[in-house]
Amino acid sequence: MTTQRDQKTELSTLLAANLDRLKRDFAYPSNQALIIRNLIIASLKRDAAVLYLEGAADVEEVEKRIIAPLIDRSDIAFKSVNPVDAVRLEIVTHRSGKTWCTFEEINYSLLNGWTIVLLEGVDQALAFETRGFESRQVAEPIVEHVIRGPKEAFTESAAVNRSLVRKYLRDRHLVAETITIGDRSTSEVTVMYVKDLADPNIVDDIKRRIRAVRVDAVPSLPVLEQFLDEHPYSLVPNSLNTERPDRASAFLLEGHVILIMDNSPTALVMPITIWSMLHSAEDHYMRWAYSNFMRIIRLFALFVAVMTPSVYIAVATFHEEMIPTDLLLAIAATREKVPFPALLEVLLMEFAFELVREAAIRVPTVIGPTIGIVGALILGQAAVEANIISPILVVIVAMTGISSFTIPEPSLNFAVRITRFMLLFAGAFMGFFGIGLVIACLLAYLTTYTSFGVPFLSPLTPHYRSSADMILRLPVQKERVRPHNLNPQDAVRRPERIKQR
Amino acid sequence: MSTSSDAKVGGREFTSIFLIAVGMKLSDITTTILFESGQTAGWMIPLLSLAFMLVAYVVLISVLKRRAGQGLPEVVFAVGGNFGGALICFLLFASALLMTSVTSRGYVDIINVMVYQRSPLYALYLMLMGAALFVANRGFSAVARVSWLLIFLIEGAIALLIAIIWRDIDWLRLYPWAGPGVTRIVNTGIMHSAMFGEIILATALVPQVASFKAFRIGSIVGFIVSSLKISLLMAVYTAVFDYPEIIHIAYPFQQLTKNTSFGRVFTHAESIFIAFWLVISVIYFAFYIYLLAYLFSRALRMDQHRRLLLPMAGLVVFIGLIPGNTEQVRSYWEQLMSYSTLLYVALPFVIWMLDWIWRKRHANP
Repeated sequence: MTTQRDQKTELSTLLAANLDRLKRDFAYPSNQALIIRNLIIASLKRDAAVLYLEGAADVEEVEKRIIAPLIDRSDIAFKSVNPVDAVRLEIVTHRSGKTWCTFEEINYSLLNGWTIVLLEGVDQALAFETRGFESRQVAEPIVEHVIRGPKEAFTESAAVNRSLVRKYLRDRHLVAETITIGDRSTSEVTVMYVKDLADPNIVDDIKRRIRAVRVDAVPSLPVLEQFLDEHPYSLVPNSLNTERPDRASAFLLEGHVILIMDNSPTALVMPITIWSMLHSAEDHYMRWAYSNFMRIIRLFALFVAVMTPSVYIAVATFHEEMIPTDLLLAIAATREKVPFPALLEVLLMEFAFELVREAAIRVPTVIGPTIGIVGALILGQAAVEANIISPILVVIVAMTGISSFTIPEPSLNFAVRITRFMLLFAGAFMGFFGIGLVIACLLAYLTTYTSFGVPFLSPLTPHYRSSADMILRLPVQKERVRPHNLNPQDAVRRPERIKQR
Repeated sequence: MSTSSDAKVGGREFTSIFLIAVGMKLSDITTTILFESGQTAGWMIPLLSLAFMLVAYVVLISVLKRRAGQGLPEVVFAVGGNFGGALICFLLFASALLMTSVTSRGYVDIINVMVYQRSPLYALYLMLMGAALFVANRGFSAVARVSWLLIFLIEGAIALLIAIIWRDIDWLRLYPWAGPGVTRIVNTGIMHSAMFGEIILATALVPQVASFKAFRIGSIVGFIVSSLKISLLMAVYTAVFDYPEIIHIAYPFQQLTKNTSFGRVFTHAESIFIAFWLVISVIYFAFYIYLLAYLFSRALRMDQHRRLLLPMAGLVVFIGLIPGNTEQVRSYWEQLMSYSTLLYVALPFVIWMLDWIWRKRHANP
């Protein structure tokens, strides 16, 4: 940040003055991160300084490609008259090279790992991209793992992530636009989309929203996601995080937009529909029948996860006649000893289950298995024996819990778990009447909920043309058109088979 | 891209609304009342009403076709002037309001009698209408989209119901096929045409539908399929319960679901049918509340109909709570039916004539 005294932003021709100014900007003597290497360019016979930030720049690259050529003593005549051009074009062997004129540009470049070369008698600075932030290797996905299919996941480095996406989608129309956000700590957001596929209105809308974010710092994508959210109070998520480059590129091919940021091992996909949240990366790697089987199981699990406790309460309280008589008697016999009403029982058990789940996430990995044992034994077995809950309830809550684990997307998982409680209270209050009313309202809400202008349940309702890749999917040969709810510019994935005479 | 919640409604979605709005009558007091006068030939009445109403509908459509993008209120105001337009709109609104109130009261009665005997009527009523209000408040597109989402499930559930009950059906119970006599059947059919009044009322929503063609196809398909469905279900009721028992059964549809069982283990599946039926009822009344607010706002020629939804739902509940018991609901229903039949059948012809005069005047100035 510039102080009052440093209003002037242009560089001067004096090397010492420029260095002074940069030292002040980075609080030099106390801040040891700024590395200044003074040197004399032998072939130009000129004083110079090389600057970079420790930790941000790759020191080895700076040494090898910038400093070494600069101090090389071989005497040759240069074609360029301008010393800046001579250094940039004829001396330094680094791949990039830009000329800056202001301190803002220099500061910004230094923070992002660039190396600056200042020359005596020149009011310009040379900048070379030498980013060397520490990053881990490309690892296997942790959340979205698959049995079949690629096993690469995004890392915390945006450059690596962009290259991963490009590796899966080698299309010259794949655009990677960079938008800088954050007033204090700036960060770059890369907006990626396929230029001749994605609806320009959606792309513009997303870019406009990103530019409208005014805040001191946006550290990573999950925070940005919340800043871009159209409905911050809604239970339903508005965009989707994926850690799989193959999945991100599949979304790009349907006309979605993805955002990539440094420090975020995911890509943010937008706009989304409920189908993109219910589908798993694996669905298209398996053969038609297998993947549809998985999808049916998952859909069934979704219903179980949302409805089972409320249906149990409704049936047990209002509609006992539905349960087969033998089972009813068995349930009644076990419930006889339990002093609580069914609702309290369910709430107790659900609460216990949510506790176990939350604890399992927060607990250090070493003692992780203990949670399972304690949770299963104490909460399941002992609670039944202590007559706090009835055995049927353990079955129901366990079923519900396992079913909710099959929902691949964590945001949707939360939405489902919270919705379950809404239905639970409705069922306890008015039985199937209450559940019916709440479901009607939920459906009305979901059908009119939009993510960046795209209806959440489309292309099912409202109906749009698509390859019916929704609840089930077609064999790949039949998936001919892109979903039209995203208004893709190129609607067809695969031309119709040319009929042979 | 039609994406905002007030966006126009596509053909499929609109057809589904129609299938629900008209088809729901197979499950309410309409069928019971028709059996009283139709006896074993009760199932013919919907078909006769259909034929009769189709004439009125075709006349009305011929006028609407000439005025692209205009709904019933706009046309009425254009051909009938300010006073005439407002009068017709208010008449339509009043008839729709009373019809909705009586019908919804009928639904609440069903819920009260069949499942929740100990819950107070007004509480059930308020909850049902509250949910319908929420749905209507999400816009006409919400009603349409949920209808499209559920329509195959609905038709599937009806088919399943018939399949389950198939063993109990004895088609011979439909004899004598003419019931109380052909004249009486035709008479009742005509006098109850107003049960398909939606087809006239829904023309108000033409501007909300993607294209006039979609509206025409949607309304005609929805109309015909629903009346066939009602007719079929009424035939099934008669064939299962037999005449004269059928006229003593207050709610044949719910009674039918009570007889369903999946194998020997699950002997009572009616609650599932009832729950599903409830979800659809909410959509059904959401459609009506929306229609009422829309008609009222158009009668006053204002553009904001969204704020009218709450008062409309309130009005429906207030009027619906007036009848003391189910018997009164039925007698009100009968009276309303005969008056509004007059309105719905006469209206298209009146509009057609006004339009004809209007065109004459504008053709030769």
